[in-house]
Amino acid sequence: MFKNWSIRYKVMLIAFVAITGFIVYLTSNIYVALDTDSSLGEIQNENFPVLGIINESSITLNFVKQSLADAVSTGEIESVESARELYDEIFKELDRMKELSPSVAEEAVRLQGLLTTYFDASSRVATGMMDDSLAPEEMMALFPKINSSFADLETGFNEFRKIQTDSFSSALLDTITKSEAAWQRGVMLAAGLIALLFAISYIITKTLTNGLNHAVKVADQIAEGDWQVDIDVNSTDEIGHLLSAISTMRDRLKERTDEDHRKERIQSQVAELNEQMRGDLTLIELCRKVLDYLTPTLNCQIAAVYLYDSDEEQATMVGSYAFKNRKGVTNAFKLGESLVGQAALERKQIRVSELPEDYIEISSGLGESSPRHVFVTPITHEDELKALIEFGSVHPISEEHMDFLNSIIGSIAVAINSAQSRVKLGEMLTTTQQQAKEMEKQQEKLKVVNESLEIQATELTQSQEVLQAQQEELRASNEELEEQAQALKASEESLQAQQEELRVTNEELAEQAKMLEKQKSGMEEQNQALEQAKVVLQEKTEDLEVSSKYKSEFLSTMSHELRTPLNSILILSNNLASNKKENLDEKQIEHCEVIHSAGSDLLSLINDILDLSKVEEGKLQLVLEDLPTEIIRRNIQLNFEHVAKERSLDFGVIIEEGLPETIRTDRQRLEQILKNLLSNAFKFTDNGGVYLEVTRPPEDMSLEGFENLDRDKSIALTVRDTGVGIPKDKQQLIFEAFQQADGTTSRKYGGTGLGLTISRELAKLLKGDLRLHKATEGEGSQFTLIIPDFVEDESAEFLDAVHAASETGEITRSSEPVEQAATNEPLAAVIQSKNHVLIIDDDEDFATLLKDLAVEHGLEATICLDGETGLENAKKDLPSAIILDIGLPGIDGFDVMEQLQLDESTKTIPVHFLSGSDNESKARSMGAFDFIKKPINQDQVTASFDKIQDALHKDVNRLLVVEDNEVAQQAIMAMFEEREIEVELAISGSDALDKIKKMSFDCMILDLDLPDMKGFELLELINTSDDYTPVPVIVYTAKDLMRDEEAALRKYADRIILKTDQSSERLLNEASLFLHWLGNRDTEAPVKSLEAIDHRDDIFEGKSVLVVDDDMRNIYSLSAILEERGFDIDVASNGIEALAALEEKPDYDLVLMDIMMPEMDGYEAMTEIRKQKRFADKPIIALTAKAMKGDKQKCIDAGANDYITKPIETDKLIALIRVWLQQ
Amino acid sequence: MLQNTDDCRSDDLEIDLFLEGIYRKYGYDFRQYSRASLKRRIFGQVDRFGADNVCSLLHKILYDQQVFVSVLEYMTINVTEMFRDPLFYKTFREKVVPVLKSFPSVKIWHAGCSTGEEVYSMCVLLKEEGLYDRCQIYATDIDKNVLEKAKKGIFPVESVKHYSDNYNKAGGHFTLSKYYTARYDGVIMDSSLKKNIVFADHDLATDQVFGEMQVILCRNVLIYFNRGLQNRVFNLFTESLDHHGFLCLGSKESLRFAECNDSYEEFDRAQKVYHKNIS
Repeated sequence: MFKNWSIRYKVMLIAFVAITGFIVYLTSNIYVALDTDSSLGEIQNENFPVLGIINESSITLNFVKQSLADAVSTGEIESVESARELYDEIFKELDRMKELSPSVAEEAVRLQGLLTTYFDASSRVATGMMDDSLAPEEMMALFPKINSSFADLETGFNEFRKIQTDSFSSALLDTITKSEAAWQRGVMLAAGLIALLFAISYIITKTLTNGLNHAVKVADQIAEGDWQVDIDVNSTDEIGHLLSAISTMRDRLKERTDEDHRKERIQSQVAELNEQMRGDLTLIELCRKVLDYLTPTLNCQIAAVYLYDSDEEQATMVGSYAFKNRKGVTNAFKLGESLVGQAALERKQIRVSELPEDYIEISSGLGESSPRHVFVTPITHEDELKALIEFGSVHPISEEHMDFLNSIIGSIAVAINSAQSRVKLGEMLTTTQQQAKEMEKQQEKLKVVNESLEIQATELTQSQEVLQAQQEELRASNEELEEQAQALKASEESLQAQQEELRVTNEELAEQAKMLEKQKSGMEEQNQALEQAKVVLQEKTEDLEVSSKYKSEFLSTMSHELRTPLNSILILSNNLASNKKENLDEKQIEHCEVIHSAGSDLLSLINDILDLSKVEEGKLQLVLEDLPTEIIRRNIQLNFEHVAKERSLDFGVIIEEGLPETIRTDRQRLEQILKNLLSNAFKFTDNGGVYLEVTRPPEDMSLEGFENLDRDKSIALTVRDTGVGIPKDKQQLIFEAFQQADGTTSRKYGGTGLGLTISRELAKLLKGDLRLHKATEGEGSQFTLIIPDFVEDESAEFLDAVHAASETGEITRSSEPVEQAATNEPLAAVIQSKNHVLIIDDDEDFATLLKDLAVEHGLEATICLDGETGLENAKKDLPSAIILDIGLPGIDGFDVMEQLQLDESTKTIPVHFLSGSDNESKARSMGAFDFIKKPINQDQVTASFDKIQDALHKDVNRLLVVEDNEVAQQAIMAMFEEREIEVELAISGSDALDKIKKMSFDCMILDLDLPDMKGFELLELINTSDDYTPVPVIVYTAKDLMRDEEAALRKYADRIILKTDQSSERLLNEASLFLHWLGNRDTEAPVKSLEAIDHRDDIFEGKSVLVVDDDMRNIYSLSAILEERGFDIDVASNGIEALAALEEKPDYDLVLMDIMMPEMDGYEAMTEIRKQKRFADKPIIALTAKAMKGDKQKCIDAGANDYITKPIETDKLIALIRVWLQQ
Repeated sequence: MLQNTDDCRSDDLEIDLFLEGIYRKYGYDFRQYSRASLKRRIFGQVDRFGADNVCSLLHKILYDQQVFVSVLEYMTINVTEMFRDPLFYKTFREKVVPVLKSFPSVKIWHAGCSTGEEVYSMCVLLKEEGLYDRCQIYATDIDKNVLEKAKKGIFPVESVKHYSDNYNKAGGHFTLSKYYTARYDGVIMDSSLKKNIVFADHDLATDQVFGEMQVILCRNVLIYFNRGLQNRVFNLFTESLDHHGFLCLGSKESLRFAECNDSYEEFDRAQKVYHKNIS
């Protein structure tokens, strides 16, 4: 049993023993030691100190004694004290001793008692000695006590000491002995223990090593391959286990090795079989070979192999091994037939053993036997049954062989399969070969076909290329088309532009056409006028011709007739004056001279007249010659030298340098002019001189208007004198026929006054001019004749006197009034007051409207409130047009018109009547007011209403009845009850006026007999005062109206009609058209509308704006924007303030009104503002934050002209302001 | 008149300076008007004033306001008649008015109203369709004179027959004479037609939008502008027009080449009425 302990326990045993022994040893040692220790301790703690104490105490006692003695001797109390201290010390020590050793306590106490006794006594004595407190007897008594106690003490101490010392030493001895004994014991114990241990361990070790060695030996043998080795398992401990394990291992190994061998064998067999089966074997060969190999290998003696045909489901024998075909035994089995068929069916191996003897024979050459076992195995490849093999054997087939077989079956199956496949392949090959042959034939055919296809392919490629090319072309043309499309678009654009331009041009053309039309019509008018003028002219010319013919006839006759008697007068008077008979006295001679002189004058006058007329008729012919200037001078000089001398005047002819030597002109006429000028000069000069200066025309002589007078090619002959000169206002007159500067000069200076006229005409004849160059009254005059150097030789023409050129600045002719052809339209007459219209109307309000209209058309206007003033004004101012009302106080419009027509100056002024329309005149004639006779009757009233409605296009909805009689009132009221007409009653004139002031009426029924005023007066009041709106009136009265009353009423009626809304508008329209027409006649455009055009943006400058907003920031920003542009800004922060601001300054140009404001919002404010008539047209723009359409409409409804939404865009606001500011 | 290119360029430069001068001095911007017709008119003005050349005319204009006023009148062509292109009005009456009737209030802007014939024609139309009271009409033009004339509403009596023809062709319900008074050589339109019209001076080249409109008519005005100015004006209109607003152009005008073309669809192609898209 011990042997079967596990090694662990065995080893533990040793240890256990060891430990136990040790513990014992140790314990005893400890015990001994402890004992010793306590003994020694006792000594130390008790005995020794006690001893010590005693020693000390005895010493101390001595000291005490000493001290006391000292005390006595020295008498110091301190010594006593120190003795006492020492005494205490001893006492304490003794206490301590008691504690230390309770056994000596008793002794200690005794000692203490002794001590106390001693000390008390001693000390008493000592003190008593010192201070003599003690009686000597006492002292005497005490001395013995002291001595005795002291002696006792000493003895006590000694004894005590001794005892203690003894006990002390005995204790010590004791201890020593004990420890020695203990030591011996211990040694012995230890030795025994060691021996024991030694033995145990030796045994155990032996056991272990034996077992292990054995195990090693066995293992080695096994490794060598000795499976038979003996394994001795004789214990169940670990070693035993080890050995049994080795044994098991050996067995296993053996098995495995056997197994491996077996497998190897099988493998090699398999390999061999495979080898056999390799190669291209036919099926039969294969089967044979397999069989041949397998059978012996499997230790069978007979075998057969069947091939399975899956189609026929039949297994047929194709090979056998040692088999003799027995008759009657089939070689083919269907499924389920015989074992073979069964195996085929089930695909399982079938084994049968213990076959009967005659089942089959195994025969060899030497003998026969019957197999006892048969075994059929199917061979399947991929679930297809290929074959079956049947084995017959004498012995049962071993497992190993079975394994082998099973492992080989797969290969066999594969091999069979392969063989079969090969067969199939072979067949297929043949077929294929045949097919190949056929294919070759077909290939030939295909080749042919291919070739044709190839040809087609090439053709296709070609056509593809062509297609490609076409595609590209198409693309190209696509692009072109796109380009064209773009170009088309561009040209469309430009076409559009051209169209627009064309339109513009068209419009320009249209405009020009219009202008041309205008021009044409203008021209046509002109043409017509011209035609007329021509006709007139024609007539006049004819008349003129006729008269001139008469004139010349007359003249020639007259000249002859005149001259004849005149001649007689001259001759005879001369004769008489010469007084040849000397029968006349001085006076008579003088008379004759006078007659002669008068006659001469008359003659020269007649001559002049004739000359003049000839010249005027153009009957004078020029006789041109080349006249040397010298000759001129000589002739003049000759002619006038003596005259100058006679009058004692200076005279000279000066010819400038550089003038041509000759001039081509008519000498006679030239001289005639010069003579006339010079004789005039001489005539009017009393002192000084007369000079003829011949020069080129000086610069200060204007030649304008004389195209044939070239400054370089004409000469000026100036006759300068220092005579009386000619006053300025007569300078023109002098060239007039029969005029002299002073009507009286003829008396003084003679002359008919025709000279200059003739000279002038002659000058013209000479293609030159005669003019008064300079003339100063009192200083002299200069007359200049300017003629060209060279006059063309043609029949002289000269201007018709009637159309004397009035363009020369120095001579003016008075314009003659152009006679008017009689037309109905007033034509342009004297327009001295340009652009001025006279308005004659007693209705001041309406007249103001007309005035505004005139101003709009750029005309000034004056208003006259009645006909007389109007006429006066018209005659005085001669306005360019008159607007005339028919109904005027005093003389009426028609009368005014008559007067205007009668007056020459005003008859041509265009007049526009403010007349009623045709309808209304009809209505007027019927009376838009009406007469009804009392008593009043419904039908009459209805008829009147109808008339009113007709005339005024207005229904009567509200009626005022002015009647004081109650009954009549009721009656009238009853009439209107059913008709849905509002009726107001007034019982007197003032009552009626009141009512009219407060309400508007469509009609008034008026009783002429009122208590406080007459009906007329009422009507007058209504008509003239501004407080009352005129109302259509139905007047009814009991009496017949007087003529003048009727007329007055009629007038009133007219005014009512004229002053209702519709008709005023019509009147204004017509007046407007009149003014427009007026403006068109006048070629000068009215200046008003073209006011100073500054920069477009400057229209804001100086305009005033009221900005109403409660938000300071908004105000700030708006103000900034507006001020920048020149606005004057005022600010209000709510509606109330806005209204106040407008009160203070009603003429803001614009109001910007915010909507959301406290106290009074924008809507309310605007409504309030619009209630006031004067602000009806004030431009108000609302600033609204709301953007919904309804809100905007609300602004407009409240009275805003327009609105702008916040946040406000500056540009938009400015644009909007610009729009509305211009209204 | 044949000019070589150098002269042409100098001409153009002169015209540029001329227009610039007017713009700077008076604020009227003709610089982007269509050059060809503007040139003709300017040269015409040069002749009319007897100036030697465009620059000397400019000199006169700068120093004499009256000359400018006179020139201004001729810078713009004001050929117009009532119910011009009657078919347009007919179409407006038949197609646009029914849409307008659905609005609570209608604002109409005649841009470039000239002497007002177009405006009054529209007012007559609106009155007959019972739409007038709901409408607020703005008639603007660059020329103040022309605006004055438009305000008066007086037209020559010779033209009335033609206007009446137009009116009838435009589908008028009554007769044009219902709306005017005739006297002397003129006719004056009823003041009831003028009630809702605001005449204002507005320059399409320089000024901004001033309100939201449902209808904008700008007929035969844009043809005087160059492409750039036309675009500006179209943009102005697009900004001013309400959703589903209408833009009416002259018969020879088109939106097709404008930048803002996409904002509109053709409402009536023949009469050049466009409808602003939602976008």
